[in-house]
Amino acid sequence: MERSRKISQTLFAVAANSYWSFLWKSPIFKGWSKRICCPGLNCYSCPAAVMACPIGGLQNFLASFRINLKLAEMQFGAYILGTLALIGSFVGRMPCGWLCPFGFVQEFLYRIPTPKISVGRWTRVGPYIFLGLFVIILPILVVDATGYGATWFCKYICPAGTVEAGLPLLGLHPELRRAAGWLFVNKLVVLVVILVWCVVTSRAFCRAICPLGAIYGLFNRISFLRLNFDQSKCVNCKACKTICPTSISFYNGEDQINSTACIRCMRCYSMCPVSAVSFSLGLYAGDLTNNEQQAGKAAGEKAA
Amino acid sequence: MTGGIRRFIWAKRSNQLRGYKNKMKMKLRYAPMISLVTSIGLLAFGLWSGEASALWHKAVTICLSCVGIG
Repeated sequence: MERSRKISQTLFAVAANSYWSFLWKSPIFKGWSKRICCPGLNCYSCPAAVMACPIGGLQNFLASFRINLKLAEMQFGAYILGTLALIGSFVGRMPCGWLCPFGFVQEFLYRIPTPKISVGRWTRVGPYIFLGLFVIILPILVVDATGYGATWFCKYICPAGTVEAGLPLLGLHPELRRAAGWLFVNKLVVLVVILVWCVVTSRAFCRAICPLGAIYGLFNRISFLRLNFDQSKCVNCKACKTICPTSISFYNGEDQINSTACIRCMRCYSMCPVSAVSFSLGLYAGDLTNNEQQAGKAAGEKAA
Repeated sequence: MTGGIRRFIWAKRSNQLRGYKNKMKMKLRYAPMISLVTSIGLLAFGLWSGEASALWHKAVTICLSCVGIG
């Protein structure tokens, strides 16, 4: 399964950035597929990007929300939220583990042999702070004289934008280098800090910052896809916690297996030596978990 | 999904039907269905209000300040 995941991540990263004609044709892709939200974090200002970044798009809609209200246009990002909710309803945060190009970069960085640092559970609140403050509140509330807000997360934080769009644009268009000032220095510093952090901490950006993961994470507990843990089979080997990129500790009851922090990489499912972790898609909670099956059997035997 | 369906069929066919069925009836999950219907509603509203085209216009324009330049 881990091999399938790597193939999925690679194929999606290539497919989401497959416009290589930017070198001799238009500097940015303008095809129909830019109407579609990318399920992962992938900057749409990247010259090779063929889909729209949901976080960038959402900020843009919210930044022009007040103007749209005055113009009686009901555009507040329903299309983007609907797309994310549709994906989340089926698989929860699975795109983070299987599709996101920036998640793929983080996993690659974490392979660099250095001493590793774990982060506390308190960092899990980070994505919700960034989502609430930088993606929703500031773009709506802080507006210029014309009534438009700014895309705060893209402008000051997003490392994917700096890697995929900022640096390539400055490299390809020397005339833009004069425009790059302190704002870009800030973005570079943020980028370096996050990349170094990703070398020493597994999926650091996903765990502490990513607002897209925060949105998907809300669906982990209610999605059709569910992970199940059979406590009776568990031998407390801690393989699930050791292998988990976000250090979720469900074997001892500290976390729920469908925690908002879970990126659904399915490593725990693959690695569990006693198959205590299972997954399934379904409408019934009772027919999914092994514990419930046993309880049902017992109830049935009693009734018979 | 197939695993869940297989287990459902197994439970139906087995002689433990009553206890298991009652258990499952109690555990029907409404949350994913509500979430799915809401997401389709939001998506439809967004398409109706022209957000897909608006998103395209934003996505095909290089926003320099958005990527930290200028």
